[in-house]
Amino acid sequence: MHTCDPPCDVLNLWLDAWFNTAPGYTHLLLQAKQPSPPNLAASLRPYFESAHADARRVFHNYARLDLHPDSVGDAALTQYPSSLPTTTRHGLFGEVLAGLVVESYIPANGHAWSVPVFLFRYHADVGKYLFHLARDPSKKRQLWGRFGDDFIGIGFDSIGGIGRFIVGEAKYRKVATKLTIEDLLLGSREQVPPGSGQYVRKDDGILPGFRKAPPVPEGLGQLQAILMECAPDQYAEAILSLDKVLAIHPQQTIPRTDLVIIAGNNPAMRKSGETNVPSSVRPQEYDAGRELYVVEVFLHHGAELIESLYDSLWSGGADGTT
Amino acid sequence: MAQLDDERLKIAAQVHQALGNENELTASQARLFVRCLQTTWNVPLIRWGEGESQQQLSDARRLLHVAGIFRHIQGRESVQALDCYRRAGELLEWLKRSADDVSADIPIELLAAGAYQLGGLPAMASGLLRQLKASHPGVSLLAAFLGGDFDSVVGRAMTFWSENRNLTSREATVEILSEEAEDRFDWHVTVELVRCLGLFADALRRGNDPRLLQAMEKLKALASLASRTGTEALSTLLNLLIATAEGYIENSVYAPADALGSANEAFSSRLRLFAREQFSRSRGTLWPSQQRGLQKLLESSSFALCTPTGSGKTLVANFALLKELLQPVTNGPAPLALYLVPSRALAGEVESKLTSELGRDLTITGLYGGADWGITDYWLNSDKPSVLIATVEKADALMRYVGPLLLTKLRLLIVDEAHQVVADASQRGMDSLADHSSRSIRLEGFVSRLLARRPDVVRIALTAVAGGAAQPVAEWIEGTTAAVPIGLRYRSTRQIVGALEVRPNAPGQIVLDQLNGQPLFVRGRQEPVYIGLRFQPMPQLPAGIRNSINHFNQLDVLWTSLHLVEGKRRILISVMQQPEQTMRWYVEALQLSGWEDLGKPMMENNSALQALFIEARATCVDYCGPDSHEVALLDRGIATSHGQMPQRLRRLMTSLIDRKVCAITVATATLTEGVNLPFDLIFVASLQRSSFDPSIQRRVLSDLPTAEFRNLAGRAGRPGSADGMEGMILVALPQRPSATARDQLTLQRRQIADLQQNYNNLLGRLLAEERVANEVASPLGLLLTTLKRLVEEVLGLRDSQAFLIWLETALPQSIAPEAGTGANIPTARLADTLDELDSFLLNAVEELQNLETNLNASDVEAILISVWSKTFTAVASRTESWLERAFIKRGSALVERIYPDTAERRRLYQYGFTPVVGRRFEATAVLLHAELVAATSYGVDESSVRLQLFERLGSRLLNERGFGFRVRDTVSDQALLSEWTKVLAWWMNCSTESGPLPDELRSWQRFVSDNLDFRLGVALGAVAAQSWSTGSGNPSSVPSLAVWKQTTGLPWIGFWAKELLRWGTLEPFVAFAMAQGLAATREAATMLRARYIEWLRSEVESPEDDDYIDPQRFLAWQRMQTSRRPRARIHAPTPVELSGTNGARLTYDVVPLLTPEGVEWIDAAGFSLAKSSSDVSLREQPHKSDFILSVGPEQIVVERAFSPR
Repeated sequence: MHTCDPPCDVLNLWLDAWFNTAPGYTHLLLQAKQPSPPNLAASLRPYFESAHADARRVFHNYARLDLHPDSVGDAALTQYPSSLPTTTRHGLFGEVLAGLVVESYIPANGHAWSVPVFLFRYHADVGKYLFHLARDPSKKRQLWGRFGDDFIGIGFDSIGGIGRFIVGEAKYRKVATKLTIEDLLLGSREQVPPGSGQYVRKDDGILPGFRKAPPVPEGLGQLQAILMECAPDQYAEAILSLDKVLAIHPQQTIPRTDLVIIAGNNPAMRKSGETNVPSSVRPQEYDAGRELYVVEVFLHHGAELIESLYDSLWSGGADGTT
Repeated sequence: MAQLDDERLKIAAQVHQALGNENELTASQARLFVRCLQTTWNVPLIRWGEGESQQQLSDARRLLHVAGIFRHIQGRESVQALDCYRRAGELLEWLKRSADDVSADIPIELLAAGAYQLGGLPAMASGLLRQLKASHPGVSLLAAFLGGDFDSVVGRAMTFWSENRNLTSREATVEILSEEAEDRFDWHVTVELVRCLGLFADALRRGNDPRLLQAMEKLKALASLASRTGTEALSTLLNLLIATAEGYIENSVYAPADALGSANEAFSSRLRLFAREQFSRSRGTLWPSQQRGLQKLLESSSFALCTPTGSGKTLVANFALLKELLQPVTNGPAPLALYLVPSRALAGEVESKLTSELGRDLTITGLYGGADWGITDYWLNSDKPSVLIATVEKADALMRYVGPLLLTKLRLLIVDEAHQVVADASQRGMDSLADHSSRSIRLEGFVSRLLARRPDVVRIALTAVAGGAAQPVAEWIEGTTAAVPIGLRYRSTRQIVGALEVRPNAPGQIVLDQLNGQPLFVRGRQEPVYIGLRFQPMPQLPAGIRNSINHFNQLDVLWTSLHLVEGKRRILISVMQQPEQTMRWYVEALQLSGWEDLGKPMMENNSALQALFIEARATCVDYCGPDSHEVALLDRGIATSHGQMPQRLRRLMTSLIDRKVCAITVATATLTEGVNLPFDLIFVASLQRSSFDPSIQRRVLSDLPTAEFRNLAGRAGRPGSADGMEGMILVALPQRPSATARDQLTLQRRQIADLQQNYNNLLGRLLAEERVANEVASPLGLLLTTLKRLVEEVLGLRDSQAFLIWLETALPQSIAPEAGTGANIPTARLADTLDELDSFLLNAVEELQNLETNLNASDVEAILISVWSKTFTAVASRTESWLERAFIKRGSALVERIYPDTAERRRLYQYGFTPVVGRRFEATAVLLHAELVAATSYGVDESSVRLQLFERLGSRLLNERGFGFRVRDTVSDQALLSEWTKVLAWWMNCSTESGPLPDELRSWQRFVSDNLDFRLGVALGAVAAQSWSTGSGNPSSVPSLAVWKQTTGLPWIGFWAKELLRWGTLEPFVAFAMAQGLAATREAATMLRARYIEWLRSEVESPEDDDYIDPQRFLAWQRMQTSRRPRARIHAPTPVELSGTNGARLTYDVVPLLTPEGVEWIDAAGFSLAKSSSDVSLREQPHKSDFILSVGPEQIVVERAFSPR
């Protein structure tokens, strides 16, 4: 389970925050200060380790089991998450950053949001491999963003039941340019007809996608299974709440907040405080009719931060340098 | 957490109530089901939107979720969990079969299969998956796993390794994760899952628990990973996979096999081999009903297994045979099991199944030949454990012959289709008692006497038709009112009862009325569920046909069948009576304009199917004639079968149906009694039978008994064999008159209303029986109450006490001089009914008395009490105490006053007739005996002389109505009787004249079956038995061919006569060759005889007349033929070189992977362990065998440890 509190002091040293609200809509801009606080990676490390602890335990258990008949449980252990491919690490970073932001910055009707466990669905494509039993390098991997509910945070009520959900997408891009962000939010572009220079957006944008999101967010069943496996008594009321959602209907039982977090390096031309998404009026492309949060996060040397942070996880040294 | 369990259950119960109640569909679920059926049957679809599909998918997910709650809190057996899994499985299955484009991330058939597995309906899972052609190899692999096809899982995994040989090295797993490729984790998970599934399947079927647990552990780790890092759908799939895998482990047949074999190593390895064979037959994982059955068996107690046909009763029976016959015990004779079957046809089927599975260890004999004990009865003296498969009539005859021996050896009694002990309480059923032709009372009598003599014998009742009979049958078999039938909630297929609504010049439609024994209830709706048929209506028929609504109705059924035959679908048209008329109508119809192109045998250029068809057609020509309706229909791909059809032809017809050369079958009920035949759809054109009642001189109608209808319905939709997931039985109901002539219209309207009324009555009766259990008629109870009623009616004795007093003195022949002649007058019916009771009692007394001492009154009473307590009647009618008093009163009187002569009672018992009939028979027996004794030259006689012998034998029975020839009181049957020698000559295959015309064929066949095969056969059997008994002087003596002739004093024709009548030949060698399966037709057998004669003359210098038909010589010739056949190849160990192991474990389970370089021996988890040069013996599906790699100090070899058969 994820038990570490967000390191708010570090965040304050690291990021400047601007809030803007409109009815049903909140925009949060987070912009990294220059220079970054010293030992940033080491300061973030406990939170990230906590976020990854459950998946790490499970992955190691999986990798340890070698089915060779001569094996005596001595399979060479591949470290998680440090051994993950770079793109996957970036995705995971975005996910955990979403947790950090939600737990630290976003109110939940007077209570705090929390993330009891992180779901890292980087094996979203396994089905394709599994059903075809083939590896087709010519197929471009479809990374993150198919579901509109990569991230799930919970607002607990006073008795430990689930009062609200915050569900959404967390994206990390190398550079968070206006164009990149628009493509993500509104849909990627393609030339129609090809070579015409005329671009049309496809229907894979995050904002319009919220309307098509299934009434029961993807992943709640998994979340419930993990709670039952790891802390059934602590989360008994939450488990019961999830039964209501999964067995009856979510819209009738638990309100949901939609969330988009887009993080990336600060583009060179961007001015401080500038946003790529309208901050005082809800984007018109969003028509799901719920409360919406959009968070833009601009970093400096984000890739380097991710690399040093992920290399440091479970590396033993207190400052994360070993 | 636990404190909130109640809250969670409330939520789950809410969903169960709304969506998952058994037998209650919501309106939209019913619509989805109809849509699925419409798609399956390729008829126009109801209106349906994509949103509805999504809603159903969402409902299925909700059901899966709450099923998980029930299971988590209440355990695996939670009834509500099972309901919810089943309904989820159904919704997913119906969505899949409706070909709806629902956007699930994974193939929904896999989810459906998983849901069915957890719902305890594995046959539904495998049935669904077998029907669907998986589009991708991984889907096929998962489908094979979820369908429980472990051989296929291993085979598919091997294909994967053969396509990815770089992954078979020990380092491959780690290497993938060390790659740079972005998709390395996805690929790793995929490869590891293939490893898990392959290893799991292989270890499960081998019973290798340590490896199985490793695979399971890894599978769980994988699912746990997927719950964090995969999609929810993938996670759901893997969780279903795990729960299913856990079920496989828990339900593996190795568990009871190991439990039973724990005490003895040799027995244990035999049981493990048995378990392994079950896996190779796709039934290695037990279903809940099998589990409970085997549990009972392990506790050494008896039980009744009441599950539908095709739901695994065979495995339980086989396991019981191994346990009771092979379990090492202290000294004693070789044990014996008696397997009672309802028909000779089924005896053949059971024999071949058992022989293929247990033939190595047990002598298995079908006993379905003609003689009461035959040349195959070497089990009698064998020291090998034996299984005797017999109809109750045969078992009864055998008991008279070798009762003491049988009882000494008997350990296990299996009663197949045990519901047949339930009596038919209709007039027809009561008449059958007076006619001495009731099967149910014979079964009750036989089993009761057996249990009274051997109360310790383990018995198992198998029944497919539960109805209300399950509980009393269970109580009867277990011998306690505390008995609980096993398997009532299980079903292996979906069963629909409905109607085919037929309209002249308009397309028909199907109405669905009952689903799984309950009204197809759609919440909030009253109107039934319809499926419209879209093919053209039948062309206008000639007025002569249309003027008979029955004729029209039957032709419409054929027309519909011919248009619904598609794919692998099989259709049965079940005929209540007069099949010859239906056959003729069909032959005529197929020649009408518009019908020319319909119907043909389906052989698809398959030479085996063509050969089968040619053989069946030749046999059909042999027994029915080239111009018969049977041949004409066969040529149009329509098989026929009825009770009078010669046995061999029936078996071939069954093969044609089974292999789907004939997609349509026209048959009477006898075809479907217990025979495993798969039909997707059964049509019934009438629900009544008419018969001529001579006592009132008019035809009477009787309703089809519900038990018969249930039995018929149970043949539809056999899992895995039928094309759809459901079997339908449809009653054809005309909706409008077919006639146009004004004078016919009123009549037809009335007939239509009657048909509809009959159908409604049937539905009502079926439902009532589902609800009211335990109230069934018992044969002996029916006999006693019928007797009491007749006494009231005929003699006016209404008082119960007076009835009991009457029983003490009444003599059948005094009641009516016509007693024992089958006369149809009230006094004779009364006398014959009493004679039937006397027969029951006499058999009991004769079998249970101690032959060493004189029988006194208290002995008799003790015998009667003990037999009574074992009767089905004592269980089913336990509240009526007068029945027992009447039974004992009459039994005592029987010995004291009615048949006081001990020697006479013994003779009467041995004849096997009822006592009155037996007394009549005695005089004839002497004449028959004299004829046989004199026939010493039969072996070399000309055909004409041989035929004359049978004419003389038959003529002795001609005017004897009790045991002699009997035909119906119709002009045509009486005419036939007057020319019976013509029928005899035709049947015995030596007619110089032509045989019957096509329309006469069935009445000729009926004469053969009723009179030549049955009555003359029984009489000759009784003479032979009596000769043996007199000759040996010792009731415990065991017949053997070596002493038979000497003991009986009869020439060999005495041995053969009954067998010859069975096969329709005058030549014993022909009967022998056909009985032993050496020849397919009488002609072929006759040709074979020339070789036998040649051999005989080379063996015996100057053979005597009787040598030519000496069964011992036939057998010697057969043995000589068999010994010339090449023996099966034995596989020698293959030397190998280790490749991916150091051999430290000394033995490894391996599977061969054929490569261009040779054979790579790999562990089922996909690791190469050794290599060898190529081996031709591995060409055919080697993954179905087990191989073991052994690392010895001197050599390293691979040996085949198991081969499927």
